[in-house]
Amino acid sequence: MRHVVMGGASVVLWTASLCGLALAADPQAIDWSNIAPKSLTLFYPGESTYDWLVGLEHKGAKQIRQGKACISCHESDESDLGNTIVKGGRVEPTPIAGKNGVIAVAVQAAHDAEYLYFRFQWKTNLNREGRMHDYVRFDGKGWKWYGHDRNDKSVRAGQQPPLYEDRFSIMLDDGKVPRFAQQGCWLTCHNGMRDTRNQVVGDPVKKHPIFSEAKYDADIRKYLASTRTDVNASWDKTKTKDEIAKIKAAGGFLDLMQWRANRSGPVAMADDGYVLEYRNFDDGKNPFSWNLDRRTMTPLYMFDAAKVGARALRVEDIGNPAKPGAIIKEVNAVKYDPNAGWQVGDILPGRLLSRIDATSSAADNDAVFGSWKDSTYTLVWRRKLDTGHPGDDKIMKVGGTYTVAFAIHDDNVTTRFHHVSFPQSLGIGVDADIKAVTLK
Amino acid sequence: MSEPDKRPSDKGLIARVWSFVARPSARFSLGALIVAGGILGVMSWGAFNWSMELSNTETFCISCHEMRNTVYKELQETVHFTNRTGVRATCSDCHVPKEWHYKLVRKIQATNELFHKIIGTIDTPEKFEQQRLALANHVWESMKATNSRECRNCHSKESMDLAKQSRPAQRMHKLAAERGKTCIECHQGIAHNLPIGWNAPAAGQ
Repeated sequence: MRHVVMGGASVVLWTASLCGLALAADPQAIDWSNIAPKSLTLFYPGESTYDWLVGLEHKGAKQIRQGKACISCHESDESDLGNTIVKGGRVEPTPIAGKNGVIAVAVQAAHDAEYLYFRFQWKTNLNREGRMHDYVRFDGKGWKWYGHDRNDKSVRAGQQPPLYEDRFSIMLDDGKVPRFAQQGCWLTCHNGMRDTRNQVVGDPVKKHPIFSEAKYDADIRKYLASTRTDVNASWDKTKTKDEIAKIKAAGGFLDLMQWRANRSGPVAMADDGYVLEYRNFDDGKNPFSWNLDRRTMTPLYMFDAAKVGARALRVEDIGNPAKPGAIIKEVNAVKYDPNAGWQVGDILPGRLLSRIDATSSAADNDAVFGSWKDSTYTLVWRRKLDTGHPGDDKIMKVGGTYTVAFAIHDDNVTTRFHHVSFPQSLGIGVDADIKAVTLK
Repeated sequence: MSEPDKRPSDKGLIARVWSFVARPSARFSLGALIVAGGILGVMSWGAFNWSMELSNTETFCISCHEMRNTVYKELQETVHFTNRTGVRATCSDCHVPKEWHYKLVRKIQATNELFHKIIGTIDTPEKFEQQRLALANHVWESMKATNSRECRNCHSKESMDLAKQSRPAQRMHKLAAERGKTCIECHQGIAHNLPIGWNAPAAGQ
């Protein structure tokens, strides 16, 4: 059995045989000490949406519209930017007390004929893993949401605890998204999205001819300016479905993969999505789904007491590395029993994980191992150069140069309350900002 | 019988002109000749400089519509055209050297541009757009080769007070100085639109 250490506790995740990991393709088996790390400073961007960047308040608006790179004005500026913005001001109207402005990340990359491998290391702001997400608590009558991200009103008011998963995200492009190499993830961040200026939620979204489809949530998420018709790339000024489909067919989307400390990490995976007219998931099924009927707030699975020692967590278990943070269908779950004698304060994860249910392109990141020790995450990641899914993945080749951008959601935050990198070139065996060295 | 002397009309054109120029004047005094020569010289020099300056004017530069409707229009949107202090940089300020000998060379080069207009290489705004990237690259290369000489007609490192600049500008100017960069290496597109593909993204293929 393969054991993956999460937060100092050994949690049986999955067997090597089920993972299908041959030793050569195991990112944990690589001797990373021989690969020089690239130091990146990820910084807090606040509400510097694309709209803000091209607006009157931003001195470099003209350069942005011209397609110049962020670093043409902000090279080596990450620390100043992050430490200034995080305190609040014109691009951060709602600062979070105690938040850090920057996160230093050590990036290592390698490749063989089939896979690209990454290793990331960074320190967290909070002295524990953020492996809690969408938890529900029994209040004596029923199950209620318990905990939110730090920007949630109830958390800011002290009515709920900050509980939200940590994440590490990778955006990847092969040169087909105009200006991504210069302006990175800012191309995807717009007013109207969750937690931005003029946030749009509910009816206005669901009455939009495109976002009325069931596959879209009732809010706005990342999208590319190329899918909109106006200069500011407004959320509702979409091109037609046909036009957007043509952009996708031509490869004009961004690959977006997220390792999630609660929703994918416990099954050694990262999710796989793409950004185009919205932040979409790839075809197939993700490793996570809901563990409750959200209409009736009834859980679907509970912990298998025979394996975990209890049917549910208690508040004091949160943050205890010896306790599981997630319910995994094939590992530690049994069907929910409403008559199991639930006590006030019992807690169940609102998400259900399954590695074996994950399928197709959504399951491409199938060997992503995160561990947290002494306030430092170490995350190793593998991805096929050619996933076989060109419809929603970027296909890489040995000798090719691509563009990547990274983001970290640290200390119980979501949406824009993250830290981001400027775009970096990634060379598969060739020189670039980040060179994936060729494994012998 | 001896050969008769050749009459002037039998000489070649050059020889006749030389003979006229070299023959001492029997009609005009030396003083009159010097004065007339001086006046003619000044007039010629003036005419030459007048034509040089005329071809340096904005009116002259935008007399062809592929300039007027494209780069000139773009210039009007920039700080080099309208600004707080009322100082304007026009076409020749950035594209024609001030020093006489460099200016002369540039003017001679410009005749090539006129030639290409006449033969139709670039005689419409559409053709200009097609060539914009190559033209811009050419300008950037020549500016880089001269250490952005024309920028420095107005801007100088010595008179630049970094403390009065924005924080990013201060840092970037320091970095540029450390790396020996010249103005145009960072300020492409400061007065005109950048051509499509001016800094092609990392290509994965």
